[in-house]
Amino acid sequence: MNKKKLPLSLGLVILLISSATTSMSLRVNAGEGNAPGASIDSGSSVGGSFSPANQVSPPAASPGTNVNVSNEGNITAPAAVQANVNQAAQSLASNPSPAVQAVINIASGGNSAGNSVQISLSATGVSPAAISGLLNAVAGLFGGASFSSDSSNIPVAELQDTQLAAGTQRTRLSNNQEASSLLVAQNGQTPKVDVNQLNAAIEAYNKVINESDAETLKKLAKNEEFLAIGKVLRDLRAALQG
Amino acid sequence: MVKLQARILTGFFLFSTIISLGPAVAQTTPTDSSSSVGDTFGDINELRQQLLIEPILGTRKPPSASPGSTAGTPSAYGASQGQAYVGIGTFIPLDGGDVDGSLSAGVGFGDPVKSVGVEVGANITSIGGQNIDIADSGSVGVKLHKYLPDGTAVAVGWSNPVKWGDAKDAEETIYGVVTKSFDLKPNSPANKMPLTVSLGVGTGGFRSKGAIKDDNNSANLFGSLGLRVTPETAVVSSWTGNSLNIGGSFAPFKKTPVVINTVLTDVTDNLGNGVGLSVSGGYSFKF
Repeated sequence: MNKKKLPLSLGLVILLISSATTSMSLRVNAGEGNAPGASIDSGSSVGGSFSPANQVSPPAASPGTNVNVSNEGNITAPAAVQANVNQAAQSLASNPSPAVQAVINIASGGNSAGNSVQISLSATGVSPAAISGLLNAVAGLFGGASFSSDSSNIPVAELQDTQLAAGTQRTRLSNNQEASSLLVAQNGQTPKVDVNQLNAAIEAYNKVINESDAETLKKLAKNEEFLAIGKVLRDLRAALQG
Repeated sequence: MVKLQARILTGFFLFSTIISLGPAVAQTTPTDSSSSVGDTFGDINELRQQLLIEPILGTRKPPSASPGSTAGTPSAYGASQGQAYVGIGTFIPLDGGDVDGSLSAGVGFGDPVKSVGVEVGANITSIGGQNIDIADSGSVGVKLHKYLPDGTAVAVGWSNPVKWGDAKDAEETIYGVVTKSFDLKPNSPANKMPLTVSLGVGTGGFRSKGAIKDDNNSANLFGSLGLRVTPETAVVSSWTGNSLNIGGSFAPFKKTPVVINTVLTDVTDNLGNGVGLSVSGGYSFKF
């Protein structure tokens, strides 16, 4: 319902009704009730326009984003798009910088990487609650991943020696879960990205930015871990357009 | 005219002077925070924008109007505070007989989501004709409606507590109705294809054929089904308590809140008056 064009539109409707009234057949009933087929409430006049469900702004995918969104805001990606996002995750994991690797570890459930990133972000002045919200959201990114599939028997030390030579102290693995995620990434297994969690992570990431003051923002713009989180989210987000 | 030109020239001169002195003033006597912070605010905002990631979810504007879910029977939805409508209905008997028509207008109060909505509507049952008897007959009704958290709507209405003219002869029409919508394609962004079901009990206009014949104002069941096949189009059907109506409801304009319904009435000829064509429509607005 558009308030601005109300006078013109209403005028046209009144004109229409007036015309219909005066041109109506001379043989016309002045009945006890409404014309048959017209309801006694607003239904025949406005249809379902007054239903509260039809008046809310429903959640929708941002323009250029190829996903489906339910009334409740649940996001589902068509198979091809999901594959595209998974492939983007695979690309990120194939030759990551140490910071990106740390983010991938968090996304795969790696606690030690999360701790180190948390410490790093805390130094920028971001509130602990905001950091926790962001890392929790990132932690579920690969929620449906089969990262633990084939790697439980691989010694952590071996992984560190052979596949994590470029890693820094903060990305060192402390449990088999992290080891398995890295192994999957290195072996070419494609992770499954949870698009709902990706949306949650982007919102949490944006919240950190929007709530940061100038000084914090400047520090964040130089923080390797925060930028790595942004890169991972941005790359996965871009793959939704496919 | 001369004074106006003089003022314009004076204003232009002062403006030019301020512009030309601006840099010198800024260098010597800071008058606001811009000299101390430079374009820091602009830089920070730019940095913020650079860091932000476009969300996956947004919102879309609700349509200006939605097609109906009934074919001549009430639903449990109604106007709330700040909403109003006008409408017209015409009826053409396809097996011969008199054309009929009616006008409607109503306004809403309250909030059916937070508390209760109240729709007050007037129906003018005499329009046009040989003697141009507009508004010689009609009624004013009221409907209380509530929208529950699970999406179910309930309403009770009394369509003719106030009546005049030929409408005085009508039986009291009091009803209760429940409406619920089910999305048949909940994950479809284009059209979730809601199937809207209404079930009600009412007197007066909802009486059975037998009750009408016996002049008995007993309560009777009525109901409707509406399937929105596109965002602008719905297939609708109603059992009025004495006749089966089938048709379509349309919200054809994206920006203009107009709804048009075309309905075949009493398709089984239960009342023995033959099938009729009903065309109704209306316009809703906020105030």
